Amino acid sequence: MKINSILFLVVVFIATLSFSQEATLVEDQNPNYKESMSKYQQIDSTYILTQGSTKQETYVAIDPLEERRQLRSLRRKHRANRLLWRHQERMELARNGIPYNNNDCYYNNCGNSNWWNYNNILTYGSLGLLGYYIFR
Amino acid sequence: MRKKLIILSLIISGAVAFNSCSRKITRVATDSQIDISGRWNDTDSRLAAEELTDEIIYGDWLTDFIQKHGRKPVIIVGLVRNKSHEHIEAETFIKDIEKAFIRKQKARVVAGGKMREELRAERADQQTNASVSTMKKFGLESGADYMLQGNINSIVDAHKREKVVYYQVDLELTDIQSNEKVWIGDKKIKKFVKN
Repeated sequence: MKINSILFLVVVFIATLSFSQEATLVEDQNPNYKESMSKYQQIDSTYILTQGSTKQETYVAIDPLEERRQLRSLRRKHRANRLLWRHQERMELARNGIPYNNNDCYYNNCGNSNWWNYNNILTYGSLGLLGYYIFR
Repeated sequence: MRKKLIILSLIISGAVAFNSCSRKITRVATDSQIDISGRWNDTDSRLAAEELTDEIIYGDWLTDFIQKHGRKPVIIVGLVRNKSHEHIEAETFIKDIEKAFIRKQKARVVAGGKMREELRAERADQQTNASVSTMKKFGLESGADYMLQGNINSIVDAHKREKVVYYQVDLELTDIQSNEKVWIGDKKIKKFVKN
């Protein structure tokens, strides 16, 4: 019984000690500091990882000469890549076929141009010659 | 005679052509001023480093701190925002400031950012792999007193083939405990570029 009561007092003493430690504030410290502390402890570590680095938040300055230079450079790049792009386009068309709804007259026969078709000229021409030699 | 003249002229023109086609590289002093495009270059970074280092090291904030606490302050480098119109790396002049602090023993500098993560990862690895006598403990890092942060801004005024570019590099030292700014330094550079 005596040992139990002593044990109980020791437990109560330790409990009050731990509570008092949690409640100790430095002079002038805001008692709501835990709210802020828990918020910033959970925050993403991206703020910490960017320390010592430079964040590039650049803007584009108004400079007509620079714009002209960039346009010139873009034109040169396009000129240099045009052959490759056209080749890639042809390869895509060969792989996937001419698109159904494509109104592009470059790849499709938009007009009625069968009369000057090379194969037809050969067929009719040879038939004509054959007829000539048979019936002359 | 004519044949010899032709051969000689061919040799000379060949030599001239060969020399003009080859690339010339010369090593120059790191503090020599060479401006080519008019953009931010190493000379600008060096000027910013020199002025900002002098201003921060001989600032009153340092003596005030030492008088108040009786020890050197601990500084960590934070984020520098480049809000100018060009790509600028602040590390080229921030590193000079850190070096000056350490060389002159005016303040202590602690690692931050990704370098600190790497150190912590190494420390964690030592807990399992290093011997007990050599492994380093967690929870014993030096907390920084001040954080060095900054901004880089620019203003461009261009018309036809002339351009005036103004850069301003601002650095601030802030007390991490109280958010108080104890020092602000800046370096202004203005350039006139004619094409």
